[in-house]
Amino acid sequence: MKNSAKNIHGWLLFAPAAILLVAFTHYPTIATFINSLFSNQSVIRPSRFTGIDSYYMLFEDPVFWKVFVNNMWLALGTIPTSIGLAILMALIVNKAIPGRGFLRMSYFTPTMLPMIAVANIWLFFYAPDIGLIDKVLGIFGFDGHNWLGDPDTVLPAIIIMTVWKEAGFFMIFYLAGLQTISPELEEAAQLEGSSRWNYFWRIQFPLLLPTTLFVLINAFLNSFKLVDHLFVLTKGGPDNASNLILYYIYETAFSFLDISYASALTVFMLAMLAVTALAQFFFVEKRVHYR
Amino acid sequence: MSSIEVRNLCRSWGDVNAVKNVSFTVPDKSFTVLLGPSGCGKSTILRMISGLEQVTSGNIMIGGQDVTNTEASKRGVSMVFQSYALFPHLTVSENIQFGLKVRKVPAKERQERVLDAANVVGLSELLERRPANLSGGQRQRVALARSIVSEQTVCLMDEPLSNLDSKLRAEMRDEIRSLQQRLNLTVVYVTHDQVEAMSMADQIILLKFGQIIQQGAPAELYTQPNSVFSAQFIGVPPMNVLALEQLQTDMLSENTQAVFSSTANTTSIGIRPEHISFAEQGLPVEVFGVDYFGGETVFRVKHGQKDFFVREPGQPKISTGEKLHVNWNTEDMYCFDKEEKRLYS
Ligand SMILES: Nc1ncnc2c1ncn2[C@@H]1O[C@H](COP(=O)(O)OP(=O)(O)OP(=O)(O)O)[C@@H](O)[C@H]1O
Ligand SMILES: [Mg+2]
Repeated sequence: MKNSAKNIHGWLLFAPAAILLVAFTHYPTIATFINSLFSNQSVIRPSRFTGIDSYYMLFEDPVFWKVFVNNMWLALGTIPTSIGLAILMALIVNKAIPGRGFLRMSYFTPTMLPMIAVANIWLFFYAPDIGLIDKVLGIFGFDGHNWLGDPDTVLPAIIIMTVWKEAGFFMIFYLAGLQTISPELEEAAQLEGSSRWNYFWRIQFPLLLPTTLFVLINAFLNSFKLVDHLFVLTKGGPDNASNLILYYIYETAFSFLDISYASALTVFMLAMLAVTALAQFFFVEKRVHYR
Repeated sequence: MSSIEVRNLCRSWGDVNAVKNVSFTVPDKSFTVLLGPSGCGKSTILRMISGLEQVTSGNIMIGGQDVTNTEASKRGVSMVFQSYALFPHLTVSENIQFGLKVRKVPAKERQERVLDAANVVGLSELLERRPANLSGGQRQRVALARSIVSEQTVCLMDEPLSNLDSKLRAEMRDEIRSLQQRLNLTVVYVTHDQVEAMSMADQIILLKFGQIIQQGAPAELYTQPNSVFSAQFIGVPPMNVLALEQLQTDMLSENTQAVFSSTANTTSIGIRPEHISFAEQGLPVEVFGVDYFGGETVFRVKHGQKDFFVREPGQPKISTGEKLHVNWNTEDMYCFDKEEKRLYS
C-alpha cells in the first residue's frame, strides 16, 4: 500500500518531463522515420508504403551530395579555427590586463546576437562594391567582388562569418576551464623555467581537454544546426554552392512539399550526428579521463 | 654557498603595505622559519625571494649574488607550495621530472634522478599514479621530490604541512628536517604554527603586520622574548601576561615587589605557565578549569577578573572551585612597558 503510493508519487513527478520529452523529441523522431517509409499523400494518390525507396533516392540525389560535402567543408572550416581562436581569446582575457571586462564583453558580443542579426551585419560587409570589405580592398586598388554571388567564395564567406559568431561562445567555456586551473601550477612551472608556450602546451592544453571535447561536439552539431543566416544571405545559392543539409531539408519539406524525402533526409542527418557524437565521446574520453 | 640575505625589503599594493623594511640573513645550509599570524606577510616575503613576486624596494641576495631582478627560474631555488601545485594530468614520475624536461636533461639522466628523488621520499612504488589517486601525505612527498630532483640548494616552502592531519604533520616535520640536513639544503619555511617553528628551525623570524618583531634560535625566542607579542606567540599555553593594575601586588613576595620599584615603567608582567606553582601564600586564585595531558596538567585559574594558566607536572590532586595561592620565582618573571616592550633590569 505504502509502496504503491510512493510509486504513484514518483511517476507523477516524472510525468511532466517524460511527457514533454516524448511529445517533442521521441514522437517526432519516430513519426519522421515512419513518414520516410511512405510516399507522399496527395488529393489523387493516397500515401502508400514504399520502404527504403526514399533512402535510395537520397543516395542518387546529386544536390544532396553537394549539400553534404558543403556541410563537411563548413565543419572543417569552422571547427578548428573557432576553437583555436576561442583558446587564444580566453588566454588573453584570463590575464590581469587593463580593460579585461571590456575585452571579455566584446569577444562575447557576436554570440549574444541572433544569427539573423549577424547575417544582416555581414550582408553589409560582403555587399559587392558598397560593402565594407570591398570598400577597404578598394583603397588598395582591388576591384569589387560579389562575395556571396560567386560559387567559389560564398562558402568561405559563410565560414568566416560562422567562426566570428562562434569563437566568442566557445571562449566562455575555455575561460571557465582556465579559471579552474590553480595559478600555483603556473608558478610551479615558471620556477622550473617553463616558457609561456611550454606551459600552455604541457599543462594548460591537456587540462582543457574535457572542455575541448565538449566544445568539439557542440561545434560539430552547430555546423549542422546553424542555418538561419542562409535565409538572409544566400538562400543556399548560387547553384547550391552554400546550401547546407538542414536548409535543404527545409526547402524539400516546405518549398517542394516533399515530406517523404525530407523525412528521409532528416533521419539520415540524425543518424549521422548521433554516430559522430558517440564516436567523439568514446574516442576522446580515453585521452581526457584522468580526474 | 647558498646563504640568503634580505635587505630592507618592502612590498606594497596601493596603500596596503604588506612587507615593511624587512632585513634578515639565512645562513648557508640552515633552516629558517618565517613565523607569524595570518596576513603578516610571510608568503609575500617568500614569494619575493623566489622571484614570483616583484619587490617594491630592497634587495635580495642568494649565494652572494644580487638576484633582486633576476628571473625566478634563474635564482637557483625550488619551491614547495601549500597546495602542492602538482599537475593533475601527469603521473608522479612525470610531475617529478617536469622541470628536468624543461631544462632538457637527457632522458637517461632524468630517469635516474627521478628514481633517486622518489627513493629519498619513499615514493618508488607510486611513480605511475596520478595525483588524484594519492593521499595527502603522498602528494606532499611528490612535491618534495620535485623540489629535490631539481638539485637546487635553496628550498622555499610555504606552509607545506597545513593540509595534513596532525599525526602525519608530526611525521613530515621530522622527515623534512632530516632531509634538509642530509641534502645540506638552505631552507626558508613559512608557517603560522609555532610548534612547527620550534621543532624544525635553526632560526625563527617572527613577523607581525609586515615587520620583524624578533629573530633568533627557538630557545632564544622562548626564553628571551622581547615583547608581549613574542612571549605570547611562542609556547602553548601562551605566557601569562598580567597587567599590574589587575594584581594585588601586596600579596606578592618582597623580591618581586622590589623589581617593580626598580623598573618603574613596568605596566605588565609575564610568567610562563610552567614557572607558576601553587603555594601556601602569594596571589589568591580560584581554579576554574583542569586539563589533564598525562605527563602534565594545565590549570586555568582566576585572580579577580584575570584568567591565566598554571602548568604542573604529573596530576596534582586539585579540582575546580578550589581557592589557592600561586607564586613564582622573581627570575622567571618578565616585565613589559606600556608599549608591550620587554624591560630589562
Ligand atoms: N596580490 C595582492 N594584492 C593586494 N594585497 C595583497 C596581495 N597579496 C597579499 N596581499 C596582502 O598582503 C598581506 C600579506 O599577505 P601574505 O599572503 O604574505 O600573508 P601570510 O602571512 O602569508 O598569511 P597566511 O598565513 O594567511 O598565508 C595581506 O594583508 C594581504 O591581504
Ligand atoms: Mg601565506
